[in-house]
Amino acid sequence: MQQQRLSGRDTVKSVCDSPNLIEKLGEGNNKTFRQLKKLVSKHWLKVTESRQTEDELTRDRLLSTMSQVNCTGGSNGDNPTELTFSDTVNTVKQLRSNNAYEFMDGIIGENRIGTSPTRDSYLAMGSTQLQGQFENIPQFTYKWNYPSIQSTMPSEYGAIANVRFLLSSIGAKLPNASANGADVYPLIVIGRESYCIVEQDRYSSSFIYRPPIFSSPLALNATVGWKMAYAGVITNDAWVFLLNSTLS
Amino acid sequence: MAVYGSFTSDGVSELLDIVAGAKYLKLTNTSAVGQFEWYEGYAADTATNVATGAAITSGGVTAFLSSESSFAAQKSMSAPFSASAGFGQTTITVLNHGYLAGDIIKITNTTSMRQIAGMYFQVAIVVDANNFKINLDSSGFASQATAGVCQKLIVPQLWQPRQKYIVGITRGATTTITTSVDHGYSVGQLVTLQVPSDFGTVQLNGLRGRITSVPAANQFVVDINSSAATAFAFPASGAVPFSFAQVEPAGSQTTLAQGNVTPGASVNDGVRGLALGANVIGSAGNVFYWYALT
Repeated sequence: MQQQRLSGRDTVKSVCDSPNLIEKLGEGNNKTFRQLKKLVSKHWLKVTESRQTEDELTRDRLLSTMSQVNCTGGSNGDNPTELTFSDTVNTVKQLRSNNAYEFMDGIIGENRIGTSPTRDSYLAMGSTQLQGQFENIPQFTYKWNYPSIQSTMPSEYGAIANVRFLLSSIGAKLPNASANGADVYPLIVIGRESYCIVEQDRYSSSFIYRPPIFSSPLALNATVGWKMAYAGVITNDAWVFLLNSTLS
Repeated sequence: MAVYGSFTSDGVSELLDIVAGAKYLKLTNTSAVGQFEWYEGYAADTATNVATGAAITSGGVTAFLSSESSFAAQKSMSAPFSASAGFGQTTITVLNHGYLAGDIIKITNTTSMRQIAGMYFQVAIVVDANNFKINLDSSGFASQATAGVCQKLIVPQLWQPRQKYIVGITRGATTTITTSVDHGYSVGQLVTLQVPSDFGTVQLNGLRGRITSVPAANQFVVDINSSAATAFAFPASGAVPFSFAQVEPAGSQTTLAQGNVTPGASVNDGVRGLALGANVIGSAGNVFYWYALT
């Protein structure tokens, strides 16, 4: 569920190197950047927890309000079926018909063995459980087969037609939800500017550290935590789809 | 952190909204005298009777988190569906179902009636301890389900109002939509219809309309003229796989109600806590006090 943003898989370094660190993490606690950097390194779990919660809220909001398309091109006898090339192409066709903009520019082919160019692409975000599914799709291009990985994201796994797939451990999973009672793995397929998070005035996330002196006269325990405000909007519901699939 | 509270039992089930993940619960029935305990790590739906030390193996306590789609245990149907004409007239038989009117259940593995497998339905009427009716008119189906599995959603799904499945469309100068679960939409709100060709009324697919009235909790009227559209009908059981007919919110109202939430906007209804089953909440009217550690 990462989109060039902080989340559970980001490193402490990337958190600390964020140019908006003070705005994101330290607003109101009167810490200098150096002090904050030290604190964040010490309490990085809490920081990533905050950003991952934001990702999960976005995931659940999209799951709740988007139109759902079942994969039908597979052969596992379930509804939805497993993901196939034709399901991906049909989704692209639907997004294109609705004039959704691709999220990523294509990558031009280069003279490198084992690589192939990628098309302008929409993004599909889903569970890492889908990873094995791609092995069965001959048209799938792994990320390491792109001509260049300069414009890829850490969670990106590969591409089919005009869709690039981002997989995460917090990708959506609907337990026992298929016709046969199997787990369903929705892929959130999005075009550019299809949804957004509304920044709250001077309030996004706050990382709050209270040194031990605040807890007791003996200054034995410090506390650290976070809080956030969240408001999201689907700007065009014709540019986002849930593509439901099961495993083969 | 310690949290505590009290409630009056309805004799069927109770949700404790604890916010954080619970590690321990003590439940005291002050009306009938009895105490139950639950610890983090207990299997779902279990507890311990403090007085006797006996383990409660069903109808106990289950930790839930609505963002994780918490469901109660699966229950198998024990007799074929029976259906009369009209919504809310399809009867399902599940021995000791324990459901209440308004509960949302997921139905899967329906033999001979696979066109609804995977859909959510609301319990419209509880007939008795073993039978209930759902928001569906399956009287016109070629055959009724001979077996299947039900699973109750413990807590409301996150973010309401949300996407709903369509189970009926009445055509005309305006269009009346019937949903399988109470929709929660409001007059003035925009919605988008998704009606695949398998469901007949494909002319409405992708159309967006504004809700003009809400005649029932599971019905609403939109300003879309569907007079010339073909009739809505569920596909045959053998037609799977296909996508379900559905409606999703596409825009909130333009006027603000009291408070700071626009009517029709999706709001996070997520809760976290403990679900109490029938074997720990006594009889209807019993007063309980509870104490939990998080």
